[in-house]
Amino acid sequence: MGIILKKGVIGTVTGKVGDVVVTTHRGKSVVKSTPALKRKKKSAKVQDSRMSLVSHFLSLFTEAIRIGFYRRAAKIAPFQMAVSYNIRHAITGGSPDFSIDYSKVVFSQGVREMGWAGTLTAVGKGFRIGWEIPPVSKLKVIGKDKGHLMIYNSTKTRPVESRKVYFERASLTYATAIPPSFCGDELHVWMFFSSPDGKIVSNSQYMGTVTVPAQ
Amino acid sequence: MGTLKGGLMGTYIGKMGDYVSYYLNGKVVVRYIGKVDHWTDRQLAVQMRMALVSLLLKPVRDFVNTGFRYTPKPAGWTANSMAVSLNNPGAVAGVYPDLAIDFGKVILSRGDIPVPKKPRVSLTDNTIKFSWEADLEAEKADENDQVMCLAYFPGSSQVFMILSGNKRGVEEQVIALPSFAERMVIETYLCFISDDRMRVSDSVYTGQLIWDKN
Repeated sequence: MGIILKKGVIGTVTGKVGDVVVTTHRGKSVVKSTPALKRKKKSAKVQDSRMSLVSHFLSLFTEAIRIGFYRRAAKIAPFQMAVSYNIRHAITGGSPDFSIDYSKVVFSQGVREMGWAGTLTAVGKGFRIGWEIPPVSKLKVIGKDKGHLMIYNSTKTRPVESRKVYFERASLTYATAIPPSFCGDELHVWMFFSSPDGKIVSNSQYMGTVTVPAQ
Repeated sequence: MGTLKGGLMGTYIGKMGDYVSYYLNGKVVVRYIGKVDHWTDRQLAVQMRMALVSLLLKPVRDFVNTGFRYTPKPAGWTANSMAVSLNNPGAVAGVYPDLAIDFGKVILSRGDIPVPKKPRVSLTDNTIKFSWEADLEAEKADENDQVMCLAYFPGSSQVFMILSGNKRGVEEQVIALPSFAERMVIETYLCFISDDRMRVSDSVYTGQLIWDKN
């Protein structure tokens, strides 16, 4: 696999030229040899359906995953790492009826403290989450941690768009409103904390489901 | 692992990456050795033990760094190498593929201060209470020794630790827990550390607590 560092005399090329293919990957032009013909085996389809299920679901939360699965020394991208983990741990059911076990989905892995004793309750036109900081924890170190929230509407199979609103760990509670059209639907909620610079993260935790009553 | 012969940038004997080099009829040969695509059960057991012990030690890194800082160890070893060495395979029980951590055998500090006498632990409401006997007359015990205690949650790989707790004479240390709703298993450990942080006692396993509010 070659990487084109400077633009050649013929400008930027993409596509197939003879036995090579020129593409762009993460902003770099890459030259690869043309792929060999592959006959797909029957079992390959099963894997494909799991792959598309997980990667489609996770692609709704790429922003959080880029923080939650970021590893400085990793050779693969955070999203790939998240897919790799969740395809192994968060899938239930047998072929071909695979489904996602929402309670086992993970958006971040790290050594930072989790939000202890998390709670989730429907309040007004939205919901409120709460957590605790036990006396043993060092509030000075973790107090300014940013909280990240992932919300998924399993009835409409859509996420609640995050508005890049982060909350501080020291506030111990956070309330958010949801779109009126999502009232009455089942919402799944996950949360994790990251250090203020986003470099150290906690494991993500499944807060549970909540249904905001329609008004 | 490679062996360096003939000085810097000299001859490597051994395996580096996918290549292996060795003496053959007086000459050094280097050849491609390929990738391992099959492991025996005993090799898989070694790998699984290492995975279990790494997962065990990851959250208690601070505790282990203090507990093994001045423990005699071979040159070039870190506190973590010492901890891995003592707990692998010492703290892993069972036969592959049913390996699991035996929390009663986990060692988290090693030193010459005598271990806490009659250590006890109890869980009431949201508080873990560690207690022990002062035992100030024991050899190498000092009244300024402080207690280090650890509450380990194997389910979520989280810990609560106190690295500079009460003095030996207080005979009691408390860790307040958050108000969990779910069932939790808690493994607890206790050891002493001297006032100058140079000496520790061996860690003692004080038992398993089960938090079940419902």
